[in-house]
This record gives sequence, structure tokens and C-alpha cells, in this order.
Amino acid sequence: MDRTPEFWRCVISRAQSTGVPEARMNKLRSAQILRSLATKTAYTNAATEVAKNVDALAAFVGQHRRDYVQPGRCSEAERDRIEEQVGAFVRTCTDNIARLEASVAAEPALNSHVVAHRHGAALILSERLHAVGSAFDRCRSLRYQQLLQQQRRRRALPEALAPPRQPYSPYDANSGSGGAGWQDGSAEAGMRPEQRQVLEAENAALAEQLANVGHGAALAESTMRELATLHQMLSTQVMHQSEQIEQLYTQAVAATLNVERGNVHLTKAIAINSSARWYLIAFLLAASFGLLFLDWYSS
Amino acid sequence: MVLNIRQKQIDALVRLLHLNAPPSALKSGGDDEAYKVLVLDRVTKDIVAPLLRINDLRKHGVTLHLMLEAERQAIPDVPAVYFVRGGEEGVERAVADAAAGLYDSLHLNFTPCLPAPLMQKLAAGMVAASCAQRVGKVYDQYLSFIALEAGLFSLGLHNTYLQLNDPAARDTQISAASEAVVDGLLSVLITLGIVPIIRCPKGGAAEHIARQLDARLREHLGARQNLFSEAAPALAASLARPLLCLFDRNFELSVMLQHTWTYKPLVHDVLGLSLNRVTVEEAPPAAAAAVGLAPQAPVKKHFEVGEGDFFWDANGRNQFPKVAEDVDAQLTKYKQAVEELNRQTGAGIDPNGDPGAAGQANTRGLMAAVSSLPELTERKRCIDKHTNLATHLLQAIKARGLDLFYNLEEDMLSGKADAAAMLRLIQGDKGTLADKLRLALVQLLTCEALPSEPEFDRTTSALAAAGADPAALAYVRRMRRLNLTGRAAAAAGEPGGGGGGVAGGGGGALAGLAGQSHLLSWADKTFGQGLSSLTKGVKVLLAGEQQAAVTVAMEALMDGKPSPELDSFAIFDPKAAPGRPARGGGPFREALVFMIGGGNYLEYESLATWAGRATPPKSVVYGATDLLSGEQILAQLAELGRRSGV
Repeated sequence: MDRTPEFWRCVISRAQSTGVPEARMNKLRSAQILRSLATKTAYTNAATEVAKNVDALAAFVGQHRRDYVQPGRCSEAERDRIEEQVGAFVRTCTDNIARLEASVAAEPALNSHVVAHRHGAALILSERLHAVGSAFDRCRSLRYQQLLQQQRRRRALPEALAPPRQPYSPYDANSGSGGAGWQDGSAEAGMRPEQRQVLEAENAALAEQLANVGHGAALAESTMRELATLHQMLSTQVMHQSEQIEQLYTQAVAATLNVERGNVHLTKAIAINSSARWYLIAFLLAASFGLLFLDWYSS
Repeated sequence: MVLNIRQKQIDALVRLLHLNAPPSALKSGGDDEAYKVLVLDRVTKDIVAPLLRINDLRKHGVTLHLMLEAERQAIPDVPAVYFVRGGEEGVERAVADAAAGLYDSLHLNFTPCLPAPLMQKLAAGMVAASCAQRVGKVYDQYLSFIALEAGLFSLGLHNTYLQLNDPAARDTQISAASEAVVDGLLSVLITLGIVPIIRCPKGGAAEHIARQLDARLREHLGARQNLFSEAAPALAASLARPLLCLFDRNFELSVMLQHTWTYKPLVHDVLGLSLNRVTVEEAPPAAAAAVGLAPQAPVKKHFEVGEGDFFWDANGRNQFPKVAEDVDAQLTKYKQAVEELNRQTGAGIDPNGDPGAAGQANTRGLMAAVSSLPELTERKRCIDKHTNLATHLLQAIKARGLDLFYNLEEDMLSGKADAAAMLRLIQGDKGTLADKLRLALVQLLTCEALPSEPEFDRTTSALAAAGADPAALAYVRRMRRLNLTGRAAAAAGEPGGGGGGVAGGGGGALAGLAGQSHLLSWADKTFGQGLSSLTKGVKVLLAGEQQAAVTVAMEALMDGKPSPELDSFAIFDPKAAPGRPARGGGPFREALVFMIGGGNYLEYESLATWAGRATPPKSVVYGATDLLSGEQILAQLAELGRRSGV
């Protein structure tokens, strides 16, 4: 429940009762209104900029998502263009965030709370970017699934065309043999039907081979596309992992420092030990000499 | 409409974090107030902790959360959201921070509300330091309660039972305690946006608090019309008002002291569940000790349970053996899923198959794998956590012989008390002193007639021989004698005793409650490896169906049919004109049950089961001043015994 108006009423009445000059009262009120226009540090401005960019990216993805995902809405070239744009945007945003982080480390003489706050702001930005990126990845995987289905359908069609070719060739052969029946024609005319038959058989064989090669190429292309998407997805996971590894690394570094300190302590302890040994030996020797002396003295 | 108190509190908190901007003005990220710092104090930290984790806070733009009392450093151009209790300390620190210019602007949110004198003090302080322009907004939040689950809340007020029943307490202490309870209840009602009809047993703390609550609600309804209507406009016009029932802890004390056998109450009782978080101590792994490193102190591990944990939700009400089986089943399901995934992603390629098709299938499988992998790892983590918890529970059960106590108490609750068996258990060496005391207390509270002097003396001497402190026993005996508690006391108790057996007999298999129990012997496994449960023998029969007295009372109250025992319940209706006798209201579909002095997961479970099974399904929200385990209430009873000098 909003008690702000009540608060301001109390402030004004209190100010008036304690006799604050009118000028200061006005300054108070104007300062409150103008507070939002006060200068902010460079870091906050930069962070707000990046946040605006990320929002723009999210809006862009949202806008084009319908066209992108649904089949038949836009051509492959357009989809590739969208992907490229999104990729470029994501890269610039990541660069900006990295620069923000670097600036935090570079600026000296900041108290720990400010440092923590700035790191937190950068983390918020990177998390938002990551969310947008994974949403886009999901769209992309949908697109590739559709492509896969299309490929499968297209492959099914040529196989349906193949059987009709079978009756075609006996027909050719028949016409060829019918042509071969003109044996009493010129030798050239006789050669041509046979040649034609052989040629046609060769053609058919070649065509089939080419078709196979074409299929293989199409398959390879789709596999490559899938690999690219997978690579992208895996790389995001790997990036995550690398961050975790970095954390582990810093912890390990801290641990090594501890180990080094432990080593120093150990060497000191060894030194003390050895010195203690010397003292012990010296004491024993002195004691034995003392004993001998006493013996000699008393005899 | 189902009352979901946790969601409502989360919504209120999110609104708070977005600086209470009107919902239409919510922009994400591009505006100036995007990155804020959250300042909490101890009380509000407990409120926020079960609801929002640090990542959730970050999603709403909070970069840092700091404690009010700690030394805080200046962060120049950042708005700070203060969410603190409306007391002296909060006001003073806010003024100090504003004067020191720690943050750019302060948005103050007080819970439950900021009383007028403190508002004056705040204004005075700001004017004196001439920094009033730093204050962005001042809000009353009315969020002084801890919502643990959708239908469970606690007020976080410790030792209320002790304070309210203390014979040596001064009036000021008692009124302070009841004020706190009323504040908390008011917050709950405002957050839910409902004005219920209040019923409570006559006489005692419940009626006193109900009266105060009624007065406060009338005040709010009269003064600010929009407090209840802005929260849920639809509700204000709805015809079915919910029912709020306040009960004193003495209504039924035995349910707090009982040993339990279902999962959630077991975790709460044995492992200590607080704010949806369990802390267990784990002995260091044996391997480390064998290598010759210095013996390490037992490591404390924290586990979060609560909403969103699929296993917790599904198994909260199941008995322990079934929980064990379920963990096993989930683990096998997970292993199958992982194998399936491995197969899909080409771990087993058929060498004679068509390479093109295999390649395609592989990549498809890989894509499916990459997308479903995070979900699977999350599932595995959850299963591991519950395996861990179950193992610890099992160790505790075996060490303390809790199943013996449980069976004996079940016998007592159904009236077949066996004094000899109880004495044998007390003199035996299974179970801690607290367990034995609880057994004796349950017997005392549930036997039909008060035990005779010699029997009682035998019990006390057995306990004293075992080393326990009989103060609590003496206190409870005195209370029973004065008819202030126990089965013989509440009017709804007697018919409840018989009715409970019949009404709860929906399962049918309740005739023989004791059943046999064999200890579950598990192979000791290290964390993370599967469980192979060698559950020998018959598990305990469906014994947990004994209904708590509260459930029976609620059943009668929600039906709304006038009956002699219900007339002993007072009615308050804040919306009715003062002086007009309030009507009881017809059958209710929604209710809030509140226990003054302490509550417990067992009662909550009993209520929830009944509400789920009733036709038409009713929605019941359960709350208490604090969720106490058996040992905690035992300590309070012992303290009371000492203070009343019995």
C-alpha cells in the first residue's frame, strides 16, 4: 500500500515546523523530481545500453520467429540472413559484456560492494543474452528438423519415379528390336538401333549413378547443416563448462597458494627441528662432560 | 478457486522488486532502474529465502542482497530496495543510509506496516539530514509470514506456546505475543485478498486473538476501501467466503509429540527441516581416513526441498518403505533413460546398416540428447538428494528404533494402550531420551482415563532411571487433570475419536493398525550409487490414516450444519455490522486453519489428505505460528513444567 504521499506530507509539515527556509523546501522538491536525470556513472550507462541491445535482439527474434519456424513462410536465403544477423548481434553483445567486465577489473580504488554490484550487473546481462540465444537455438533446431523431413520426402519421390522407368526400357528395347527387324536396311541404319540401345542403356546407368551421387550430396549437405547446429549447441555447453572450469581454476590457484604457505611453514618447522636436534646433542655432550668432570673432581 | 498462498506471496515480492511500478509500466532491462540492490533484515530474509533463490533475484534485476545490520558500503548510482520490518531499527538505518548517501535512491517497503509515529520519525530524520529527496517510495507490504508451500505457511514466531501458556507471564508479554500473531494473520489475509468468516473454540487464546483480528479487519475495511478490493476484485464479489478457523495448540497436543512414519513429517522431525532446507551432517568418506589424513570434522550438507521438486511433491505423504521403493524406481527409470540416450547417440552403431540412415539417426539422436540432457541431470541430482536423505533417515530410524515407538503410539491412538510394552521400551536402550518422553506423553494424552497414581509413578521412575527430565510429564498430567487438553477435553474430541476411525476408514484397511514391521535392511551404499533395497518382510500397514482432531473439527465446521458441539465455537464476521450476531454461513469450500502455538507437517498432511478426498474437493490452507518438531515442543513443555513449579 502506497504511503508515499503521506510521507511527503509529514516531511513538509516537519520542515515547516522546524523552520526550514522556503528556498530549501523548493530545492528539496525539485531535487526529488530531477533526481532521475542525475548523472550516472559511465558503467551504468554502458550497462543500460547493452541491456537495451539485448532487448532489441529479443524483440527481433520474437518478431521473426513465426516466419522463421513455419515452413513455407520465407525462403531459405531469408532464414540464413536472419541467422546471420542474430549471430552478429550476439557476438557484439558478448563483446560488450566482456568489455564491461574488463572495465570493472581495470578501475582501481572501488570498494568491494561496488565491484560485486558491477559483476552482478554483467552477470544479469549475460544470463539474459544466454536466454535469448537458447530460444533462438530452439527455433533453429525446429527449422533443421523440418529440413530433414523435407529431405526425406524428396528422397521418397525419386524412388517412386524409378519403377516407372522399368517398363520404359523394355519399351525401348522393343522399339530397338523392332528397329533391328529392318535388317535389310543399310548397315548404318542397322547399327543405329543397336547403338541406340546400348547408348540408352549406358545413359540409364549414368543417370542412375548421377542420381545416387546427387542423393549422397544432398545427404551430406543436410548432415553438415545438422553438424553446424549441433556444433553451435555444443559450443554453448562448452562455454558453460569453460566458465565452470575457470571457477575451478581460480579455486585451484587459491588452493596452491595455501599449499605454498603450508610448504613455507613446513620448512620452518624442519629448520626448527634440526636446530632442536643440535641443541639436544650439545646438551647431551655437555652433560656427559660435566659428569666426567665431576667424576674426576671427586676422585 | 484454490488458495495458493505461496504464489501470491511471490507475486507480491516480484512487484516489490520492480519498485512497485504499475504492471503496465513494466519494461525489462532498458530503463534506468534496471539494476538494484536489495536490503533485508533477519525477519524478511526468512520470508524471502524459501521463495526466491539468488538466480531468481537476478532475473528481476537484483545484483546484490545485503543485510540491514551489516556495514554497507556506498554504491553510487543504484536504487536500493529496502524490505524490512516496520520497526525502529529499520527506520533508523534507513535515515542513516540516506544521510550517508550510500545509494542513489531508497525505496522503502515495510512489513507489515509502518505505524504513524514511526512515519513521523522517518520524516523528521530525513528533514534533519536534508536528504528526503533520496526516498523514492514508501510502501506497506503486509508480508509478515513465511509461505513454505502452496497450502502451508508459518509465521516464524518462536516459543509462542511457551509465551501464551506461561503462568508467570506478564500481561505485556502476552499482549505482545498475540499482537505479533494478529499481524501475521492480517498479512496472510491481505496477501490472499480475502475477508473470511472467523470461527474458534470459545475461551482461551484463540478467542482473544480472533477478537483482535476481527477488530483489525473491520478497521481496514472501514478506513481504506481499496485494500481488499485491489488485490482481487473478482473475489470481493464472490459469494463463497472462505472460513478461517483458529485453534489453540492445546486442542490436540498429541499430534505434535507423535512419532511419524510418512516422508515429509519424518524429514522434518528427524533431520530438521526449516524454511524448506535440510541440513545433515555427513561423516567424512572412509577413503580419506584410510589414506592417513587428519580426521576431518563431519561435513554439513544442505539440501533444498520444496515446490518444484517432483519427488518431494509426489512422495510427501507416502510411508517410508514406499518412499524407498519409489526412489529405487526413479533411479531405474533414470538409468533406462540414459541408456536410451546413449543408444540413440550412436554408442551402438550397427556396422552393416546403411551408413546414411545411421548417420541421420545419430545426428537426430544427438540433437534430442543435447536438448534433454539438462533435464536429465536435474532429475539425477534430485534423485541423488532424496537417496541421501532417505539413507540418513534410515540410519536415524535404525539407531533410535523409531518404528517401535511409532507402532506403540499408533496402538495408543486407537485405544489399545499397552502400558507394559511402553515401560519396556522406556527401560530399553533404543531411542533417545526425547523419544521416550514423547512416548510417555502420548500415552498420557490419549488414554481414556487419567492413569492411576502407582502407574504414573512407575512411568516417572522408569523415565528418571533412564535419565530424562519428568517436568514435561508432570505439567501435562496437571493440564489433563484440569481438563485443558487431551482427547477428553474438546467437545469435538469425543465424537472425533470414534468418527475419526469411521470417517477415515475410507481406505478400509484400517482395522488392524499395528501390523508387523520389519526393519528395512539396506546395503550401505556410498552417495550416488544406486540403492538395492533388500526390503524384507511385510511393511507397516496403512497406518497413517488416523485423522488428527483438527481434521474432524474442520469437517464439521466446513459442512456448516449446526450441531451442539459446534455451538461451542465462537463466530466472528468482520463484514457484518457490529452488534448483529454473525451467521455461521453455509457449507464452505475453502478454509484456512491456523494453530496458535505451533504446527506440524503431520497435521498439515492429515488436513490435505482429507481435503483432497472430500466431495466436492475442498481447498484448505494450513498455518501455524511456527512449525515445530516433536523435540522442540517437548522442550517448551518441559520449560512450562519447570516454570509452573510442578
